[in-house]
Amino acid sequence: MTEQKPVQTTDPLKALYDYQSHTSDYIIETTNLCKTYEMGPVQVHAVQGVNLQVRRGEFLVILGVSGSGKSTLLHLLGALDQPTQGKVYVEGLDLSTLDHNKLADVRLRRVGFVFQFFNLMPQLTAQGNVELPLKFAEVPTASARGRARELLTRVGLGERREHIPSELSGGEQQRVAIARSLANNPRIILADEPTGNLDTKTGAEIIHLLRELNQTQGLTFVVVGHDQRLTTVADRVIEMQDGAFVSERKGGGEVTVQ
Amino acid sequence: MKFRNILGLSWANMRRRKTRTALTTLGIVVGIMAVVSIAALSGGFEAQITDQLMQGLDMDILTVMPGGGILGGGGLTSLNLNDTALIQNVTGVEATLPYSQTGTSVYNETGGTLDTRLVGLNFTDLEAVYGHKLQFAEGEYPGIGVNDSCMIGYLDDPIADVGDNITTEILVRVGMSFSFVNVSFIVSGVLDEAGQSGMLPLDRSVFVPLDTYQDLFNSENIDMILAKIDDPTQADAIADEIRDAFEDQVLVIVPSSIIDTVMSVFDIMEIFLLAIASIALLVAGISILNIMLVSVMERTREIGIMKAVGAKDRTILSQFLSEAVLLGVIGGAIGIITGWGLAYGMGLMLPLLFSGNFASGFTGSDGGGFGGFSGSSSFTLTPVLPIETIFIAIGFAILISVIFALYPARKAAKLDPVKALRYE
Repeated sequence: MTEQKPVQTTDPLKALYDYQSHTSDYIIETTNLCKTYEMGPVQVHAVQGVNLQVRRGEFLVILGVSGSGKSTLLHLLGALDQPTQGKVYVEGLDLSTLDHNKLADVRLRRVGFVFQFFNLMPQLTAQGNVELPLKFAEVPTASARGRARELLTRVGLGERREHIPSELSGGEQQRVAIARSLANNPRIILADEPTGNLDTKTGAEIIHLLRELNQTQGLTFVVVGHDQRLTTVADRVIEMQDGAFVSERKGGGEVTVQ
Repeated sequence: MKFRNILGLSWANMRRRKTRTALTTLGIVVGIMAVVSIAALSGGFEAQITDQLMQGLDMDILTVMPGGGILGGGGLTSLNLNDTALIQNVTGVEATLPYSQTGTSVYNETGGTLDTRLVGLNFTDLEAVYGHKLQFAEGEYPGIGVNDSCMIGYLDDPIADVGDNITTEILVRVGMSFSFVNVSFIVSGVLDEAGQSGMLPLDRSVFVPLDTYQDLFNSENIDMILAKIDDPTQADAIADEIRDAFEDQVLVIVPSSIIDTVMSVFDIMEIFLLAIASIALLVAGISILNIMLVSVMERTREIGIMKAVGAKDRTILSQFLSEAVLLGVIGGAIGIITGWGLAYGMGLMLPLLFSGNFASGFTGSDGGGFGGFSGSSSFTLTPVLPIETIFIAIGFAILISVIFALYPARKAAKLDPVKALRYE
């Protein structure tokens, strides 16, 4: 497989990084992170005082039942949602200091999202879906096309590029979503139950792909879910309950899954 | 995100819902079609009328009539020959032609009859003002001092030849009573066709010396004085000077002002019609608003996805606005083409409907009027659509689309990505 160099466009966040020159061992860090929803008169504490440090290149799995706040946490880490209290640092950058546009830039260039329901644009082909974030980043058309093709080949969908999501299987759609998350070469991938909507075999393949990307590209992964197989490849496993961490252990650290 | 890419995505979205896109576009099409066809038809109408007036009016001839005065009150009730000198003195006036006229019937020796107008004027004045238009079919002007000769304007079927006698019956007032008097003239000349000639129709008229005319009617008064000017572009200034010379007690008609007056009536009519047609555009705008709101709701999840992978608020906003622009451009373009087609079709139909009364209404064959328009049989209406109108129409289509898309687009841009992603 030929490795195409990721296309670099001007990163509006770079100046901020240089200015802050924050050096940390942790690629993601949170301090006393809280997220409270108002559901009518009831306050729902989705995330309560989470302190988290994620090392560069780590494959971290957060386990929890549905409603444990793990998805909300993931959204907070990926600048998709804003905390009620506490701070999130992504690659040293304090997200609370960023405005709407800069947060969009964080999502565009610093983190990649993979979702349980794939969340592909239904009217765009696989190729078009992967090109989308590249277009948002104003990558020249030819480069974007090449980069998307290369990413789709890397996730094993080289031949299915011109199909729209409804013509692809669940596993294939998730591969497209993974390729899309890699588009602007982020160092962090946040995955929300990536196998939750896949059969056992396909789920295993996706976990394998994520782990492989983690191992070969040095990408940091934060994966939330309740698929026990995730723990076999994880470097570290955190269990979450009612918006807070309840336990932490070393993961299986295996490179392949059965 | 680059504009081209935004447009590409918009196009993909519009293609995805072809029927809805087509129906939304249809609203714009109908609105623009109505506006364009009305603009094109009235444009054609204006061009037609202007053209006819320009032909019928000599731009270098001003008409001085009794009347005027402040706020239309007062003013002279009549003019006489001495007034000619006042006009002649104004700089820029080359020649003057005072005349009087009346509608009458003329009989020839064999009993043939013609409804016409009897015009009294001095033939030297006529030559000075209209000489370039006059050609004799036969004969010549009546000699100076000869008071029993006349000249006949062009007729398709001449009523008399040079040397023939013609008789006219005129109503004369003597004291308190009126009586018909028969007067005979010897024809000294017959004119060739002169075409349209503004206030004083040369064709179909019978001309007699002014002295004779005034004797017949026992009056020193003259109806009008035509003033030929050297520079038509100075018409308004010269007209002002003539008014000044008469202390504003006369009416001076500038040919271009007649056109302006007629045009201003058409403009008011056009604006009124366009205002009505614009309602169709407003309705189209509201349907865009409606469709876009539905579309934003349906695409909530997609908006969430776009935001999750890094789209900024303004990218979403421009996404929806560019769809509106595309709707406007496509609807506007189709609307202009169909509007033109409609105007063209109606241009062919209208003259058929109006040929009977419309055209003849302008063809004043007797006395007054503007000298009459050309025959009603040749009346056609070619719509006129200037390039500015096309751009304005497209611009308007886009403007309406964008204005009504602003609210839905903003709504889409402000969606909370987390909620949008959860939207089913």
